[in-house]
Amino acid sequence: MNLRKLKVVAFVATMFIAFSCDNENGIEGGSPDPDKTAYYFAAIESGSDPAVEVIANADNFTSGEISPIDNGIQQPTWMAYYNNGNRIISAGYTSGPQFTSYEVVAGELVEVEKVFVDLGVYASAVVDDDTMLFMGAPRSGTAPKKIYEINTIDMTLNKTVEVDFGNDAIAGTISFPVDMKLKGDKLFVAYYMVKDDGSFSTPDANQARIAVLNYPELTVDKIITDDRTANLGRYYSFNVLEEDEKGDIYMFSSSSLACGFAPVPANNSGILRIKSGETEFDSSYHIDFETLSGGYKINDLFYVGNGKAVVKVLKEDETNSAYLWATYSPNSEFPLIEIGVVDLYNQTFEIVSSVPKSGGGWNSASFIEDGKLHIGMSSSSYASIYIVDPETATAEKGSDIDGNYVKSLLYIESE
Amino acid sequence: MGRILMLMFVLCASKFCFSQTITGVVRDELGELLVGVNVYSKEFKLGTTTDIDGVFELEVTSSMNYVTISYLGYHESVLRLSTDKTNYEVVLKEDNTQLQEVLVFGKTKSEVLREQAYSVVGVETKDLKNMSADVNQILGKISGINIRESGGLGSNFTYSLNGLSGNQVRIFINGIPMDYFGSSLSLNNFPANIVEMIEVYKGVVPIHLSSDALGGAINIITDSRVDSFLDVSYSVATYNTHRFALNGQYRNDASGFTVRAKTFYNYSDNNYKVPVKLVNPDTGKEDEHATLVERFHDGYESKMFWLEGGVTKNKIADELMVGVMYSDNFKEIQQASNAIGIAKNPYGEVATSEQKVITNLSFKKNGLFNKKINFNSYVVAVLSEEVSRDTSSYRYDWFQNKTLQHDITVGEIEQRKTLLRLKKNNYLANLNMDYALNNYHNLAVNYSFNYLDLRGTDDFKEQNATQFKDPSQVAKGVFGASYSNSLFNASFKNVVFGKYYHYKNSSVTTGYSGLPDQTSPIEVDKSYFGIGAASTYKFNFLQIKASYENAIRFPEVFELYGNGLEIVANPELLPEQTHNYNLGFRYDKRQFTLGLDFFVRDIDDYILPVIKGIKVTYKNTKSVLSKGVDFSASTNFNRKVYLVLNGTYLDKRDTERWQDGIVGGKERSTYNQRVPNEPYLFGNAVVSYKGNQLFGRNDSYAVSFTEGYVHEFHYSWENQGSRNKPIVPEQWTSDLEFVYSLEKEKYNFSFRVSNLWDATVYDNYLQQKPGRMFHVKLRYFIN
Repeated sequence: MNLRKLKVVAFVATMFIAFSCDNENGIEGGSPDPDKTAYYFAAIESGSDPAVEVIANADNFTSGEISPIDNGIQQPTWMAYYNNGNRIISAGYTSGPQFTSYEVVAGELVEVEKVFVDLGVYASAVVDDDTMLFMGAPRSGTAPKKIYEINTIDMTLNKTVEVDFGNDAIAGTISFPVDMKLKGDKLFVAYYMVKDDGSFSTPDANQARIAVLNYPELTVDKIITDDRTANLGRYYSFNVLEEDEKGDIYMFSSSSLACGFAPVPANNSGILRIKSGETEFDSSYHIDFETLSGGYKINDLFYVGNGKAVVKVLKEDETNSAYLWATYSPNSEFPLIEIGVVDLYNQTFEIVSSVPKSGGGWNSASFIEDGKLHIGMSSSSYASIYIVDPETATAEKGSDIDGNYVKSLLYIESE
Repeated sequence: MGRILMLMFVLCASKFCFSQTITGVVRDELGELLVGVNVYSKEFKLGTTTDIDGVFELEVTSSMNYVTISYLGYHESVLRLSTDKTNYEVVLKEDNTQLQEVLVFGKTKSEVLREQAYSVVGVETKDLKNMSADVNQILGKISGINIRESGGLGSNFTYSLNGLSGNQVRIFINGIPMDYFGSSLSLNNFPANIVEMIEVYKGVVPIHLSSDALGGAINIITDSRVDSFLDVSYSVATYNTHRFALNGQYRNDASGFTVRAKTFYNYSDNNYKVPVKLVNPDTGKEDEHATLVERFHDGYESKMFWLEGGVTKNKIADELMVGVMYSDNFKEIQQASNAIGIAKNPYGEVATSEQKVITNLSFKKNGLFNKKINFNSYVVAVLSEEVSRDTSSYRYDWFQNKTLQHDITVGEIEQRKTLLRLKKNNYLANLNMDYALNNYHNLAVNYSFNYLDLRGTDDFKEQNATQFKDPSQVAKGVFGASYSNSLFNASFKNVVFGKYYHYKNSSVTTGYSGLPDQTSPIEVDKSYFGIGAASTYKFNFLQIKASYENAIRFPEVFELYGNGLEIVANPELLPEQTHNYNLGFRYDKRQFTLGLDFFVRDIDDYILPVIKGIKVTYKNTKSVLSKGVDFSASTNFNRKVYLVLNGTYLDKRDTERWQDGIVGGKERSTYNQRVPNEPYLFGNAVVSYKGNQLFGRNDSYAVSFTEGYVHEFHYSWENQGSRNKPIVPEQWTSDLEFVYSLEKEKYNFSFRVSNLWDATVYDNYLQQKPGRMFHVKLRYFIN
């Protein structure tokens, strides 16, 4: 398979995703509650033609093999997985766009409730253990987006609110969400600009943009922009708005052809910050990541702790159109993604060379425990979890995945 | 003298009053039923012939002491009649001094077929014509065949034949590949009464059938009787389903001048009800209980008119015909074809339509050059225009309420509209010649050629506009040569053949938005060589068949180019290749036949519809190995009660071990797993009763009951996960049919109840099919 084909495959695949996934909110660091039992699950794309996914039970993410064979709950294809409270939510298209919740009952994961919506969702935010926000977005045309507030206990729609921001009818571009974060009475929605014809080309991406919405009204407060870097996130990323211990939000732009930006924005891949309590970009903070790292661009960013974030990074030839969407190919023969550690406070970067290159994917499968990031990596020749210690910028291999790749690492604590 | 005559007259007259009907059955020494045997009285100048079941019926007077039984290739025999006996069994002895070809004369066409070395089943539709069934439903009763229909009349369907399905099984009409007739003309709407016979080749396919079938072929032979006739039928069924078919021929016996007309019209609303758990849009919750909703946008209409003229069976040719055919269809699409179960949101306006004009020329001449050469050829031009339409700005619910979308550029299937107009020009030619070296050896060559160019426009969807802007060209050629022989008094028959395949496609590939940087020209040019052999040996009541072929199948047009809606083009597809092995046994004694066929299909570059969300692209995926067995048994009691039993077990597995074919790399977790979403254990049983003189002397009737079974099957990989495995449950369906004919089948009436118990039946992804339906058919036939 040549790169050109690879690009086409990745592109086509990208276009048909209906749902998105959040990073595994609410499992930041810390140790498990001693009164409760920890249950680990890995959502695996386990077969092809027809593709199938399984939420497989895992003993841990650190050793052995996690296999979906005769293990776990089979899922339709192209699902996205969320962790909230002690619940797993899978979302995707069956007979319509659907969310299904799972809980551990008597030591076993069981299906609990379902809820249906009318648009594919591409960004989510956690309100609390029992409530989540999802943003449904049209993939083309200038129709407004919708925010669904879902009660995750009984899986009902609390409300559906139409929101309209960022579309530029004259230029023929529309805003497309990549991540949301709720901070007090403000909902930050990071988005990027794409052509309104469904082509997902990015003629107007040379600026970071966030819509600030009022919560709980879900009305648009303002749009904030920053010219130091490019559009934030990338299609289906959702690890864009990352919060540190101080409540500051850090965010990245990829400015990368392989991450789906064509034409590639002029500004370099970079990192920005919004200070806790603020609703503007911090003008004193900017990392020109390409300069700092010697040519790497950010594909995904996970804040772990002590100012340190693990990043998925890549290098590319911006002039070679074969790179377009090349990081959306989990079983690629030409994987691009490497792992690195960036110190957000001291603005340093180090590559973690012991992790083999990955073909990437849509949202990353990630999980943080004991100050370490567990991350799903895969290519045509392997699929595994790697455990990255940002303090030492080293990694070791965790569990192997029996399947095409791991889509999500999920965790429930239960009595 | 006068007195004697007088006495005789009186005697005769009195005995006439005591005339009676005798019946009998004629067999050969092996117990094989003989068809077309002459049974007559020279003296009284009356007689008859045995029917398809070897049975004759003759009205005799008690003064008739004997009848003569004669049959080509057999010694003549005399049957003595006795007044207290009305039922006779006759065994004719073979006359070995006659030529062997003569031996097969008088067998039914399907028997002749069966005795070929190929694994082949012939279905004569004589008995089926009065049924309201279409060809599909007839085929469904053959062992090894499973038909999957997504809905009612006109719905999508695929065949599975010995584990190969869809286009791996080629369908022909009179030897011409059926897909070129387009969707206007398909077996799902093809009326049984314009069909003379259906040949089903399992696995290895003879070279004259244009030769690129992978898993077998079904050849529909339409009526080509050499006399004048008219056959008209009309049937009506539940869901506003109407079908009309007319098939007629005029032939001038002196000149051989022949005109044929075939036409049909099909219509159905297909508005059966399906249960759906409706969703409350405010809460997002689905109802606890399902609501029965009507499929309101699933209608189908098709029509066809075919006129042929020329000469048959005269000095110039056995057949020289020129024909023009017009056909069109219109089909509404109710929901995403790949949704699981019934979609929460139906489509209300998505539809496809097609118009075709087909011109055909066929020439057939047998017995050229001292009766050594048979020549058979056709040329067909198919000009068609297809439209795929998804232009509505409304969103529908199951009660047909519609709301205008906020963004009127979106369609119902996806977030953009589609209005694809596709023009296809397709030219096919086939040339077949066989040469008889002598009575036992035969050589044949066949060349078939198929050229297609297609181009189109789409005012909305750039992807289609780019894909079809410049003409794409597909050329397929197959050259085949075979040698066959018939040895040991035709009990041992063999055929070996070689085929050369050439496939060429020039087109473009493009992306979602059809932009220039996503678009690049592609050129596929491939050649393949395939070989095959088939043998059969027959002794006593047992026939053994074995065959092998290394076969190639070219991608179909719609696999390459999709439909502009949910099926996305992939012009880079390569042909599929298979090694296919067959071993069959057939036991045939008196009223009892038993068939057992083992088969293996080892396929590479398996073309599979790969589903992403609601979209489908056909791709060359992997290796698949299919092994299985077909079983069939039939018997009858006094030619009144008939029993037929068929069953198939299939073991079809993914044999691609390594991810992306990198040996020693990552092993795929579905390696050696059963290929999902295909039934693997299925069968049916038919019980029928045939009788006559129900209401009058000239009538006949038949009642038949069919029970069909499909074992539960997974529609996703079986080994994945331990719970929530999606299964299509076990299905039992019953059909009951009554057929009544008057005046030697001039007037015919049939009544059928399909899915008698109104069982819930599914096919793809739990999408429900119609429940109980009532069908009435009237048919008029005059010869």
